[in-house]
Amino acid sequence: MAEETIWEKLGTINYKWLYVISIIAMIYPILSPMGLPVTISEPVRGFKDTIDSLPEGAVVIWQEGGGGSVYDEIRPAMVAAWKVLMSRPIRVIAWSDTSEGPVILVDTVHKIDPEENYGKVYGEDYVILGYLPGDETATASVATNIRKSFSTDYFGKSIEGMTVFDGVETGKDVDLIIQIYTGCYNYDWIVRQWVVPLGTKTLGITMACCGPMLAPYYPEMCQGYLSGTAGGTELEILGGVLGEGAVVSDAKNLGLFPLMLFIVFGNIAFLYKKYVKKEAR
Amino acid sequence: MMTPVEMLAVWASAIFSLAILSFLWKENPIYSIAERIAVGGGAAHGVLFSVAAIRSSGVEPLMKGQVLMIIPLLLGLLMFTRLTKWAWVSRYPTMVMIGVGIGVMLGAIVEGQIIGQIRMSITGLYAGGLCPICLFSGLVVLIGMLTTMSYFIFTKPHTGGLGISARIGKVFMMISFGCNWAGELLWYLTQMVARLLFLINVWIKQVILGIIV
Repeated sequence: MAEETIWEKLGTINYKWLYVISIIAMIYPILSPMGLPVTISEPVRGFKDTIDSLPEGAVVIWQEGGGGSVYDEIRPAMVAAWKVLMSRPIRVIAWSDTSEGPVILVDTVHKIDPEENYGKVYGEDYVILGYLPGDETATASVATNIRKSFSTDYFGKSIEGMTVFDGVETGKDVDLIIQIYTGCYNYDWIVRQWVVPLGTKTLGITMACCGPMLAPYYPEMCQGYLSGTAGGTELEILGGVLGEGAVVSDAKNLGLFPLMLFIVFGNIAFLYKKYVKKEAR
Repeated sequence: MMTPVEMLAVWASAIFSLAILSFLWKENPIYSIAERIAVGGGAAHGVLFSVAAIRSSGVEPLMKGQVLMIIPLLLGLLMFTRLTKWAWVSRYPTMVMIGVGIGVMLGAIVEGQIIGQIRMSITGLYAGGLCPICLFSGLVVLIGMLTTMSYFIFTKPHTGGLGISARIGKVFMMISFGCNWAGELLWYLTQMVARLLFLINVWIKQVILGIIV
């Protein structure tokens, strides 16, 4: 029996080695932060500029569409975006189109602590409404009249008398909508229910794999977006609101190297087997 | 300083994380238990939040005098006839849901996703000004869009000019799928990094070793 070449050995290597090497590569930056360079992309600049250009008292709708399984991926972006929002004299009305949305939203806002760190008042400067089922129909309902779509906030408190809703009746009274979506085509809802009928400015926060689906709408129908932890890290740096994004990005970048190497070696091994060995036979 | 309840939550989270990660070695009973608890917990959470949403957006407005709310509530209840011998009745709420869903969607689809996309593909050529890179970038998008669309012309055989265009479109699609897959891989990596961050910084350092990070 002919001796195996190095490429053949690489093709049959136990995948558990890949796990071990990747995990070691990911742990290193956690224990010893590296601060790898980050380039700010245009959509992230657009995201920040759009929030910065809002006038005092502007109304922002935060449509939460995330869930527990993707929270790690979008958390740095959500936290950075809330920090940027809370640093402005604007009002934020948040609601969720997923049942898990309110839970991660409350966790995000809890991390920011708007009362303590930004002097904001719940019910005046921001409010967290609950989950409204119906996906795009719910989005349409909120665009038509957010006050009629909810009677209480997430905590069961009546929204009657909350000054954050002053002058907010229909979608025309909203200055900006930020959608956090993790089903890759959910941004279409915003385009169909807000951008086309009302011409509202929009921003998006999504996972790295859904970013390419949002790109075709930028910059005309979406003024900026944050794609995955990378987008969150860029906003952290651009907005001067440093958070966990930098550490996650470092660990992710380093963890990627072994995977990329294995993909390259795997392909070489495959092609060697297919063409070189076949020719030799 | 963490409260005992927070400590318990961290321990539970750490144990479940390790139980799920044990699948990397091989499928085992600890992984199966953690998986079942996660699925059960997720389902229970979904049911509770749906009930709360129906109460908040349906029952409470009805109690406050919005009589028309009785219609969606009744339609919702009719869905449960699926579990009885009158299952056909559930077709009515299903029909309304599909009708409303399509109606809500169709209105803006032409402007938002057809006309708007075509317009942006054309204006994309000079969107970033008249710099060579911007023009090149816009041109790539335009060629990518046209050739990809030509791949889906099935009424003519893919030969000659159409064949070349369709093949170029196929290359663009493969690049697009590759980007999506790479993004998906990044998501999985983030999940892993976040778990490692939690296990190292919160569980080991804060809870076990008592170090304030």
